Amino acid sequence: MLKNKIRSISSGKKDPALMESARSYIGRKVVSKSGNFVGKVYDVRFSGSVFAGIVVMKKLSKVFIGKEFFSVSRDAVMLSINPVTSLEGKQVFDADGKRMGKVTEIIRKGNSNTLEAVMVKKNLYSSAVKIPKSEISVSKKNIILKKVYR
Amino acid sequence: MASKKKIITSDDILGKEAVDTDGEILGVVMKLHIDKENKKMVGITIDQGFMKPDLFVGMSYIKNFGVDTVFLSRVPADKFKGLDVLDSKGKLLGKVAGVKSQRHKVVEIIVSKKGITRDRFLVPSKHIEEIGESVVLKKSFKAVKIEK
Repeated sequence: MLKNKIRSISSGKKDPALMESARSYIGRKVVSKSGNFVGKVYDVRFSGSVFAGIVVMKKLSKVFIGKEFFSVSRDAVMLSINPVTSLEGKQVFDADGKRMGKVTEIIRKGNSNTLEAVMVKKNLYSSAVKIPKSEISVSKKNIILKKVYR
Repeated sequence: MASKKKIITSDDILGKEAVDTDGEILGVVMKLHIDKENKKMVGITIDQGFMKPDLFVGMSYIKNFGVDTVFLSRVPADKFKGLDVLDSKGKLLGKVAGVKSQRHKVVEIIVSKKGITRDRFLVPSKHIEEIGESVVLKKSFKAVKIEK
């Protein structure tokens, strides 16, 4: 019993046993605002001594999400956003139902969650087409555009 | 190009993917339904894949017959069946067992609790935050158990 007890040296009065450990975050499920599975917590990052956010991993791709964008519970990490990075790999159709290809790159405003454009490629050898956000009609399961592309 | 033509043939529709308003590919069009008396097409059947029942979609739910896909004008309510239901903190409450909709809008969902008892409860749409790969409920949600 005595082994599990954590003795505290701190100006704060909170019992360290009641605080969450960074280790317990690892592997926790991360869910976007719209209920989509974003990945699992891979790492916890600090800026200096301050908690900065989490690194989420899904299929070998990692995304850092700042602490301002999520709340943590025992079961999952709930995001207050739908990360635009999860658009990568989605299929793109134009307004006429023509398959344009898949999203290969996301262009954002700096590191924010604001989408500016997506780069779409039909196959490995074709050149990528840049599609600005203003031309996107739906971006949920896949992307549907407002215009017809020739 | 098929979409430029005013009249298309069954070959232009059969085998194409059906895409709902969320952009989700529901399956492949496998049948066309034609009214024998009026000689008009009344709908299509979508093959949703292994272990999923075929889905009939009436003409009024078809937005357009595209070049590579058939666009639907609505999201079929049945699509939500089997989705995980999470509370606002991400706790798994159960799975969607049924959907009640009115005028193509989800009014309430029936959730089957996880566990042996498989109790069911109702969630009115006002308590639903968002529906994506799972259903996320609002903080205000309180379960109303359905009597067996």
